[in-house]
Amino acid sequence: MYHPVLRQKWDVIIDADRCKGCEICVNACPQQNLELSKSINGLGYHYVEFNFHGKRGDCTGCNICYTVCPDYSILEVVSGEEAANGS
Amino acid sequence: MRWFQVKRLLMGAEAIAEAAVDAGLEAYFGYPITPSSEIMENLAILHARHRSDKFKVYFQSASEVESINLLMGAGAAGHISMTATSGPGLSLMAEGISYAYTSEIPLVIIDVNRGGPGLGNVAPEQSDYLFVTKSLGHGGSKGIVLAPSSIQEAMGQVRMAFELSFKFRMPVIILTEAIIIHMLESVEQDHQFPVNVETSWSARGRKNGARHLINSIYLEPSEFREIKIKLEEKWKAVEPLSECFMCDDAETLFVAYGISARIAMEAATDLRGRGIKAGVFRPITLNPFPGKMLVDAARNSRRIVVIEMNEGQMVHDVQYWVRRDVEQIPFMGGIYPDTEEVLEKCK
Amino acid sequence: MQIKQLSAVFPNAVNSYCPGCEHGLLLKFIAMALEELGITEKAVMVGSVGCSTLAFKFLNIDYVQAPHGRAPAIMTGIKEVEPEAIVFAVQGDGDALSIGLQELIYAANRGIPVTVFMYNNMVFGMTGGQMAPTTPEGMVTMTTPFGRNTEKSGPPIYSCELLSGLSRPSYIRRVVIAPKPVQLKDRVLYSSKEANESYKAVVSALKTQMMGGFSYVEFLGTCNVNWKMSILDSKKYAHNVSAKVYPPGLFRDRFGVDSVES
Repeated sequence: MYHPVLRQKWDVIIDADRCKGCEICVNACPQQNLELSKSINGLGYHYVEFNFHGKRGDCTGCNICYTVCPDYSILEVVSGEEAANGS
Repeated sequence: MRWFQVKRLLMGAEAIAEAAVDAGLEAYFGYPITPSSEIMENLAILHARHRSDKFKVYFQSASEVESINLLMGAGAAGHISMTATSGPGLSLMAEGISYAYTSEIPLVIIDVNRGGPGLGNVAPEQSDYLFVTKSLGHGGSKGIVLAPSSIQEAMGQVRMAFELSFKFRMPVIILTEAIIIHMLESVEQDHQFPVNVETSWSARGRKNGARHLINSIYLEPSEFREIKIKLEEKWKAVEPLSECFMCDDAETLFVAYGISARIAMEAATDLRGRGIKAGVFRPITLNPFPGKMLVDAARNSRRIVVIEMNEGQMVHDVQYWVRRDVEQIPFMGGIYPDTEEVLEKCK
Repeated sequence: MQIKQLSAVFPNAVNSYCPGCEHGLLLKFIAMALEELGITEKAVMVGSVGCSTLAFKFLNIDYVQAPHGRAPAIMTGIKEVEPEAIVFAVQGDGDALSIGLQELIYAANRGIPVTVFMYNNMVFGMTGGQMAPTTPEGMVTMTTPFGRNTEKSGPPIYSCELLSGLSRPSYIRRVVIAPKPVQLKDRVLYSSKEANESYKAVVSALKTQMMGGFSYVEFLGTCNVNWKMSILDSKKYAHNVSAKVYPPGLFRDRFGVDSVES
């Protein structure tokens, strides 16, 4: 259930199975790159999804979403080069 | 190399303390309570004198509640730990014993009986029998209960308690009374090696392997049923122990444990001199109760007399196993059995 | 690509907390701190009774279950026989300050090198929101339907101030772990400062333990379910009420592991 690797500057790796849809990361993201999905996960919650192009601009890789997520649903914020080149 | 044996005149508390350290005691936690405090005092001296390299931790706790949890901590980390207490303290420890039973934590408690219920008095009684054998903590927890009748035996049972507690990973209680702790007897000290215990299950950090879980919560009923079945099977493997003293042809069979048994043995010898065939059956493990051995010993007896220093507690167990009339001579309030009185009633 | 995951967390484990609860955040910070300090392999967690009990399903480290309130005593027992182990407990306010106050005070007063992370949400969480020793005056709970009356039940217990009266604890700190909601023109923005501060406190507390001192950190968190509030309202309440009743600060830092001034 991890996100596919996107060829962009930053990627937020989300474990959607852990997400409980508390929206803390959604409201903590300065660029509003995160939002809840329309579908639900195994726990029955609308899980969070990452969009590189947010309402206020592109993801800056600030790591705030990783820091505030209480459910360890956001596993890692990786840079795009790393994501594209990594094996 | 031959281990030398020496005979010394020792007080019960001193002998038990030395036996515990020699058997490999690693941690002692305790809270003073009469009549068990002498065990703690003696261990304090042995610890200060570095009698054993293994005996590293000696700790006076803030309450019996804390004592039992300190024991659980040391036990969960796989170290041989012990405390000594008396009835009122054991009541407070019941909570921890229950957790330790389900979590499978080995620990050893020496319970020096005193007069009860309540504060009672500090004279010897055997009033904790039902508590330690039938209701040791909530939720049906239990522990192996050993009852020594002499200082020499108590010393051996400390070693045995350490081995049993780690073999079955459950609490072991040595149920004794103020007489054994405070009297002086000539004992032989076996300078044996400390006991070897298996500690691969213990929580000391996962050390690059699988983690160790010492846990007593199982919210899934089907999972907890499996755990309880496992605990019960483990319990069934514990072997009961007993001693028969002239039981074979005994027509009058005394059933007694601890110091009462020694007094009963004296009475039985006396009665034999007067032409009455008397014998004594002494349970060494009170839990599990050696019921089948008792039935076997009581085959030829006409009278079964239970002698204990309380209002009649073991008599229920005896009655349950032999299934016929059982007489009892109770000694209550801290009065210990008097041979004359026993003889008077058994003429 | 390989996704880096914390080694102290089970790969597919979901923590048992309600959405929006910072208790899970605390467990994550502990896992992160263990990884950062390289002590995951020798860590032993002592679980208390309450919402922290089920942490063993989330954290992949050695775990000993303590009876209600007795975690500091169990930790003392482990640390005495295994001085090399890193021993810590996550306790709730009811567990640490109501039933287990004696054990906590004695462990602190002896200066046993262990760490207590106390999650203060001002109610008993797992049993359904009853009054805790930390419930502020006037707060409505299940057992105080008209608000806590401090005339009868006494004022709330200030644990950091209480432990500061002892000489042996080496690190005492109170932080707010709930993110602060900031009202912008068109939306609410959660600040990440609190989470970062809390993480630093977790690291400092564990460092203090490694240096041989007793450490205690109180986290002011929320319990939106039992406070009967939305997640956003509970965060506001934590900052407007909790943080006013329990002022955050660094009460003691003997080894200077923390440079943050209160």
